[in-house]
Amino acid sequence: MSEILKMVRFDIGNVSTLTLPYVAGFIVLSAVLAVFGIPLCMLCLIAPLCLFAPADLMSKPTLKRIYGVLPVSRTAALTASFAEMGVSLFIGEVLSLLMYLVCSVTTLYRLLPEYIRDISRSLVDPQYNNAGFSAADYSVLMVEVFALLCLLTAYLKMMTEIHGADTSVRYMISALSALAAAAAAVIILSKRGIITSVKSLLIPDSSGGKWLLCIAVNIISAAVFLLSHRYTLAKTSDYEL
Amino acid sequence: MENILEITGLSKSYEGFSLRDVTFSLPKGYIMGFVGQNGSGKTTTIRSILNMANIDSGRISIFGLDSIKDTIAIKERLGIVFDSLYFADHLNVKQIEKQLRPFYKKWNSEEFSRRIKSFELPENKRVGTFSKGMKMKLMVAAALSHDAELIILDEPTSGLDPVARDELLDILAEYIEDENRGVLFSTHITADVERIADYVTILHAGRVWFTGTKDELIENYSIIKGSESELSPELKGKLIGFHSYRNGFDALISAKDISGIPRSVETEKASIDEILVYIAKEDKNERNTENGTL
Repeated sequence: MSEILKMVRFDIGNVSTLTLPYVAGFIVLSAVLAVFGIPLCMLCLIAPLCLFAPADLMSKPTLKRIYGVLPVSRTAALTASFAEMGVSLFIGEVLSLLMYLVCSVTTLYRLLPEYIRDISRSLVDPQYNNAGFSAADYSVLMVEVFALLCLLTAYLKMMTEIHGADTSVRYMISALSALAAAAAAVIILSKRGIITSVKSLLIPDSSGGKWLLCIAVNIISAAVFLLSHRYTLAKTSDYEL
Repeated sequence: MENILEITGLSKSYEGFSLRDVTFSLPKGYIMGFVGQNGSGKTTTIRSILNMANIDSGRISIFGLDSIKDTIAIKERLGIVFDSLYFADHLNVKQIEKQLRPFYKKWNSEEFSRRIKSFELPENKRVGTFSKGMKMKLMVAAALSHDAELIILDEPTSGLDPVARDELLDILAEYIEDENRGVLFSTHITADVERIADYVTILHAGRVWFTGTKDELIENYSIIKGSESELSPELKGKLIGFHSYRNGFDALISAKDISGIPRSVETEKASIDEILVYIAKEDKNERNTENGTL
């Protein structure tokens, strides 16, 4: 465990001057805007990806040598890499939900100019949006987006480790294309009435159902990360540095 | 003498290249120069020692520990310097020290700072902007700051100016004053080996061509020059890198074969550089005259 923590510290050290200040700045800005009812915090879900992914994808092959130099096992280095990605995504989820909660209870939105206020409230209050989405509905959607990001991140992380960073860009493009195609299909089917309501498909009506779905989605996301980690470990155990 | 590094029967194959039965050892308290042409297998051997390459067969023992099973314990006691920087370019010296500190039980921050000061490295500048000499010094500072008992350097002097090379060799000479330590450094700049190494291992085409003390190497090989007509076919067969030209020939010869040479043939000591050149010539089978006839 201590080996993994050392590697996490090492990796955080790597991004400390690269992406951390920008991600932290974005989170602070989101928190301030949340107080005024602007739900920019919804984008905090993707902030963790901006923290580690660029360093992961852009690192030179010579940097891999450090893992051959340091007194640390390859398993620990890989485990740390998956753990920091998974944990940072989870922190992103919790932060965005907390800030969204602040956003939905604040009354300071009244200070905003009308145009901005209307757009902001439409993402919080069912009276302001045509779909009749409540704050709870949006929260469930955010958890589902989190799950999707986890799936995508675990897949790309796995492919980067197994096939290298260059190849993983190809996988990233194909994964994003598949997601875009799936989203387009849902929208078209919904518009044509084949799927009567996207809302009923993605968001349970009852409060209990919503909680259950959120818990299940988080458990599944953690399981996906764990399985990807195990699979990557098995595939890369005899890789050379 | 107790060996700090022992390699026995190391074999490792890649497509188009293989290390075959590499065996040598380095006793405590000495510096070994690990020389050979580019592509002779020096880096593969070093990567095998560091467990960065998966060996096909053989055994590598460092401090009496197994290089695969005990890799973490070994790396605690190893200092490593590569030909290129393995730290992130965007970090500065202080940030790198902070990163490395938790990994080594014997990490000495004061020693690291002292080295950085004595090497005149700026602490707050991104290491990616350092010159090659400064990058090498940074890796040396890191290697020397956790009380490493063996330092392995892979082509540390390639691309360095003579002053920086001289500084590095002085650092290694100072380091080895403690007789419980060892240095293995690979290079194709044989002048460095001649200046500082006690032992030499020559790797050629994936095999150990020579391993032993530097004095043995120098004493055991000589260059001979003379008229080709003075050589018997039997003696000619024993020559290494035989090269015939219009007015005579030159070749490398082992001390054990030198007794059969006629007096009229000129003999002189061979430098390590010359030995490497003749080994390469032997490989290209340069047993021909300038006009191409045998």
